[in-house]
Amino acid sequence: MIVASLRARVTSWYVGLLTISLLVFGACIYFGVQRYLEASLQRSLATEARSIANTFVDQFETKGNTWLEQELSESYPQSGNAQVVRVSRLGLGDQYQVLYPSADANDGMSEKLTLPPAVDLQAPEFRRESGSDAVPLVVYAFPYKSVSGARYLIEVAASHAPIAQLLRNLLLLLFILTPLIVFAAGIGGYVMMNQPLKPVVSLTLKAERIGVAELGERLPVIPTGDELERLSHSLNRMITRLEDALDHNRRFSADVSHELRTPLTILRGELEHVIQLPDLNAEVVDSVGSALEEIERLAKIVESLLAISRLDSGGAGIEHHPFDLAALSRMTADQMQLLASEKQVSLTCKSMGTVQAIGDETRIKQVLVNLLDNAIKYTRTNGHVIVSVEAQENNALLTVTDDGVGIPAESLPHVFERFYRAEKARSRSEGFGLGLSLVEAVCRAHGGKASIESTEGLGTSITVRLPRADTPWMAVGDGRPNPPSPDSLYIHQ
Amino acid sequence: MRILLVEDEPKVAGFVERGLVAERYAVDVSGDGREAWELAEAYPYDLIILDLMLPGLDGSDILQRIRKKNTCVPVLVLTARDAVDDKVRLFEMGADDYLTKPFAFAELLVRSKALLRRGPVNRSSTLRVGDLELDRLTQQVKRKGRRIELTTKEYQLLEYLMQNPGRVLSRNMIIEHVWDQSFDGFTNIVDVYVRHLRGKVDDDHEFKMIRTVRGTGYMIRSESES
Repeated sequence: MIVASLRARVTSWYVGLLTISLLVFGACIYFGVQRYLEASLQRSLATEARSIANTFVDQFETKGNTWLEQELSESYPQSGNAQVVRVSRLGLGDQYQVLYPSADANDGMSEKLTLPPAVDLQAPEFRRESGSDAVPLVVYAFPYKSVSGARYLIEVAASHAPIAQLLRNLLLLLFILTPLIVFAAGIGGYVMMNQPLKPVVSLTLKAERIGVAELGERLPVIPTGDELERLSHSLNRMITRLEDALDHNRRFSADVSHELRTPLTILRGELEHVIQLPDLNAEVVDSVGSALEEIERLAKIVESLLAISRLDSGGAGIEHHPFDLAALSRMTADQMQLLASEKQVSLTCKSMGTVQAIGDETRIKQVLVNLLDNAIKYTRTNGHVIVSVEAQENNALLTVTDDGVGIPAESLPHVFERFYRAEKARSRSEGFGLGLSLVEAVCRAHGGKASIESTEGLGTSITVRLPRADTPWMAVGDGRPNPPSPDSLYIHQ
Repeated sequence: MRILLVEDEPKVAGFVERGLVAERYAVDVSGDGREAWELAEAYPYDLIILDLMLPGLDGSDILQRIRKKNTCVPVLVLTARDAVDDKVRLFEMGADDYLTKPFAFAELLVRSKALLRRGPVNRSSTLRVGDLELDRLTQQVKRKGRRIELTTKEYQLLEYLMQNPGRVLSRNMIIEHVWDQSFDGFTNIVDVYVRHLRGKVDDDHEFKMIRTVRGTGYMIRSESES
């Protein structure tokens, strides 16, 4: 269904966008936090190193080694402290002397610098190394020249583990939260889309119900004040225009047929006069006769068009009386027997007993004649035409089946259209392309339906569905005020 | 026999008048409603052929006035609209018959004659056209005394033709008389039956009595009439 897919499409679009923005957002947070933590760690290490150099190393030269060790171990206890300190005095070449070791090998301290002091370091630098127990350490090495000119290297280190731990936790949090948020937003959005789309669903259903016959109806206007209200308004305007166009179309064909009658009358009268004149040569008689035949054909087309448009507009005065459809089909088949045997086609009627239908018997007979005539025309020599009538629930079904030339599949949807002719099967010489339109119009005017099935080369079957007499429909049908008159039954005059 | 033809379309009036005059009727033509009503009031016509849509006074008004005066002159209505309600109203107003345009002149003539005769066409028990004889009581048909076996429909068709010897009957008229209006679609049922009838009536004889008038219909005539 269209609405469902629209809903899914919108939801998946915005879930996708949400996912991407959440990922970007998470990445920004992660890398931002990482940078900030590392920078602040480095800053504090550098500060420590400088203060050690200024406060302790300068005085070391006057106060001695023991003092330094004492002071440093007081300020930076070797266990339980986050920071590890090592101070070395550098000699010539690559000689050095560690004045304050980061830790003793045996005192159980957790962290300890493992690399020897970099003796040729000119500027302060950060480096990483794994300490004892493979703890990653961030080390700040600070070369320092005292007032006396002696060179020292002060190294302050701190474990990187807390930062790594924090980042790991952050990452975990992001990985859990992002899908959760996306999932919840997706479900919520899908459910919420239901509300604004509900009117669209009802619009669709209603619009489907409004067929050509019920164009008088209008769609419900959704008073939301938004696009949907405008949509229902413009759809209604469109239906109005459609109704007008159809009305115009019906009136037009009625008017045209009507206006054609007087000139046709004159043409016919004049030509009939000519053909009666004495001493005409055969050629003239032939031409005038041919013209008269065409006038007759034209007159029939005009009549049929008028009849169809009147049936379509409901002004045909269809009577609604119960009659025996089975008996009617037997009688009609009987009357058409000669036409069939003329073409050596067998015409059989398979309708026993009575099937009471409601309608205008004369018009239904016209339908029967039309259907049988068609079937006989398009059936080959030694073919079969079968007419059958049966009752089915609320309907009386009339079916005319032949094993004739059939109708190509691509033509089937059009056979009830006016002037439509399947090119192969129906040549110009036979019929006007209006017979089946008339059949269909009569059925529709009865509240019934005509349907066709056909296989090219195998035959055709046309079914006419009429309301049955013993249904509640009868009450409606009998209530209609139709003056009984023999000529109200006629379509052609 | 004097006929009043009320028709405002001059060309239609022209050929109808010509045809009726050729049949030796006296014809007055009027194209205006008011004038037509005055004529109808002034002269005792034997038949009025009345078009419905007229300037001056509408055809249906004229019809009502004629009937109000209680004249029993037969009125044949010509109409270009054949809406069912219209026809019902026409009969209620007192029309005796009607024709929808475009009509065949032959049909107008046959209907006019029927109205002029007042009452059923030739009801004598035996119809005779040349050497062809149809007995309505026994429903037997003989040509030159030789019996011809016909089906019911063939009999009805022949009877209708023989009621109007020498006159062209259109397919429309034949369908209306012998079958019913349902067959007046696109079927060629009349042609098929006429062919069969010919086979039985004409095949063994040199003179062919049933004649096709192309574009118009069929007629039956005797050797002396041809």
